[in-house]
Amino acid sequence: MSLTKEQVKELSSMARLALTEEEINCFTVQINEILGYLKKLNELSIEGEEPAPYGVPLNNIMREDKVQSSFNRDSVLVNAPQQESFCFKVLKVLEED
Amino acid sequence: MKYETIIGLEVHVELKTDSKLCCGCSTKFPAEPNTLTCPVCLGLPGALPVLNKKAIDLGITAGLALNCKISRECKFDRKQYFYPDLPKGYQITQFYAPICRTGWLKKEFPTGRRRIRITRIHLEEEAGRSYHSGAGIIDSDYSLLDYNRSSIPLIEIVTAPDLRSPREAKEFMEELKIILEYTGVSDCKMEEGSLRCDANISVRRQGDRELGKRAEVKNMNSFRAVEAALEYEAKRQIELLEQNTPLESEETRAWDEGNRETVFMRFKEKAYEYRYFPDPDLLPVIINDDWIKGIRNKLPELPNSKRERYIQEFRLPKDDAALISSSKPMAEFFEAVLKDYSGEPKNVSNWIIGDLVRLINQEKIEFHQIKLKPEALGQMLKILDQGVISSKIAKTVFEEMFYTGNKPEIIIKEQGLEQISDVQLIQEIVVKVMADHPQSIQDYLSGKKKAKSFLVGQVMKETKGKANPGIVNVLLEKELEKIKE
Repeated sequence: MSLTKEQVKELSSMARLALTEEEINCFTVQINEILGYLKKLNELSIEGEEPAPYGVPLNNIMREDKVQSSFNRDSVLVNAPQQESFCFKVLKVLEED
Repeated sequence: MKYETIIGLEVHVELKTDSKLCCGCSTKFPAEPNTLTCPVCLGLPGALPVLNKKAIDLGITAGLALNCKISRECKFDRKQYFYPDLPKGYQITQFYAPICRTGWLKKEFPTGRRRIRITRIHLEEEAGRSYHSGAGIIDSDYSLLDYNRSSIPLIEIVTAPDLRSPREAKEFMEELKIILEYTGVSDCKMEEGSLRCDANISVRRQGDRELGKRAEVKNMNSFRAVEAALEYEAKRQIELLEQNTPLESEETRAWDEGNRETVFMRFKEKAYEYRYFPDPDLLPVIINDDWIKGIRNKLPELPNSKRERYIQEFRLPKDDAALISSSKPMAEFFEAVLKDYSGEPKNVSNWIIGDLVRLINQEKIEFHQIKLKPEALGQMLKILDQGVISSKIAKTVFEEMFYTGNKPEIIIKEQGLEQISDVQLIQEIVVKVMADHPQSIQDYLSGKKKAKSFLVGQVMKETKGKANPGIVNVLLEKELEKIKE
C-alpha cells in the first residue's frame, strides 16, 4: 500500500497542518518510505494472536474519587496566546459557508 | 394520510462524582473560570490520566437501573477531532467496548405501557465550556474557553428508535431523569447542562416499513424544548413528504428557542473520520460478578416499583402515587411518615402534595432542604385524628412546623391551639354570639339557611377557630330550635 498525493493532502488537513505543494510532494515520498519499512511487519505470522494495544499486561488501574488541588490559574493561563476574563481567547470557531 | 414519527435519543448525563474522570480536579459548579484544571484535563504533554473508580461504579449503576448487560471488559478509546473546547485534540470515550449494552426502560405512555430499548451506554469525558462573543457561534468574532468542565465524567445513553411522538420523547426523558436521580448517578440539572439530549427524528407514512431519512436535532435545553423542537421538526418533515420532497440526506439541525424553529446546521453525508483507537494510557477495566453484585445490592427501590407498591399497598390513587414516587426525597419522606402513623396513607399524601409542595414552591427551596420532620407530620396527623385540633388549625400547625421544624405538640401547647370540645364553654359562646346578632336570627327564622352558617362562623371566630365544629353545629341548632318554639 502506498499513499497518493491527494491522500497526503487530506491527512494534512485532518492534522490541521498547512503544507505547501512542495512539502506535500516531499512528504508523500517520505511517508511512503516509512510505510514500506512498516510493511516488513506483514511478514510476521500473527494468526491466533489478540491485538495488544496496551504496553503493560495490567488492568483495573483506578483511583478513588478524591478531589486534589488543581493548578494555580496564573500558571494555567501563562501559555494562552490571548486571554480575557480569565479564559483562553480563541479566534472565530465557525464560519458561515 | 396518516404519518408516524420515529424518534431515538442520545442522552448525555454528567455523573455525580466529586472529582473528574481522569484527574483529581473538582467537578464543583459554579466556580471561577479555569480554577479547576491541571495538566491532565488541559491535555498538557506528559500527563498521565488515571480512571476514577466512582465513574465506573455509576456507569454500572445506570446500566443496572436500565436493565442493561454490563460488559465484562470495559475499554477506553480516543475520538480525535479539533475543537477549542477539547484541549487534548481527542476525547476519551468508549467506542469499541462500551460499559453497557442492550437494556430497556418500561414506561406508561397515554397509548399504553411499552419498553423503550436502550442500545448502549458508554462512558466519556466532558469538553470545556465556550462563551461566544456574539449572539451565536456563527456571528461571534471570538470565543472564550473555560476548562473547568473539561474531563468531568459523562455517560451517553443511546436509545433504539422506539419513541413514537415528541410527547413520548419528553416523557421518556422525565422518567430517565427520575431514575438517574434515584440511583444517585447524576443530579440531572438540565438548566446547568448536567442532563442533555440530542434526538434523531424521521417520519414515514403509516404502514410503511422503511424508515425515512432522519434529522438530528441538537440544543434542546429543557423537557419542554424537547417536545417543542421535535413537534416542529416532525411537522416540517411531514410537510416535505406531502410536497413530495422528503429529506434526501441526513442533516443536523439546532433548536432555536427564541424563534421556536429548528435551523439547518450541516449535512451528515460526509461521515466524520474520528480515527478511533484504544487509549494506551487507560488500561482495560475488568468487571467481575462480585463488583456488579455489590452495586446491585445497593440499588434503591426504583420509582416504577414504588409507584406500583403505593397503589397496591397504600391504596393511593394513581396520580398521587406517580407524583410522590417521582422524587426520591419525597418518596422517602412519605414512607417515613407512615412508619409513625398508622392512619390512612392518603391523609399523608394529601398533606405532602397539597400544603407541603405549595410551601416548598413558595419558598423556592428543594425538597431535601425542608425543616419539617416526617415524625412531626405523623404526630400531627395522629393529633388531628384524635380530634385534639381541627383540620383548620392543623393547617396553621403545619405551616409552623414547616417554617420552624418544631414538634406539633409544642406548637399546639405554646400557641394554645387545642380544639375546644368543652360543651359548657361552647354553649356560652353560642349564646353570646346569638345575642350579638339578632338580625341573623331573624333571617334564619324567615327561612334564610345561610344565616346559620354565618353564626357558626362567628362562633369559630370567637374561639379563634379552635371550637369543635361538630359540637358548635349541634348546640347552635338546639338554641335556634328553642327560639322557633
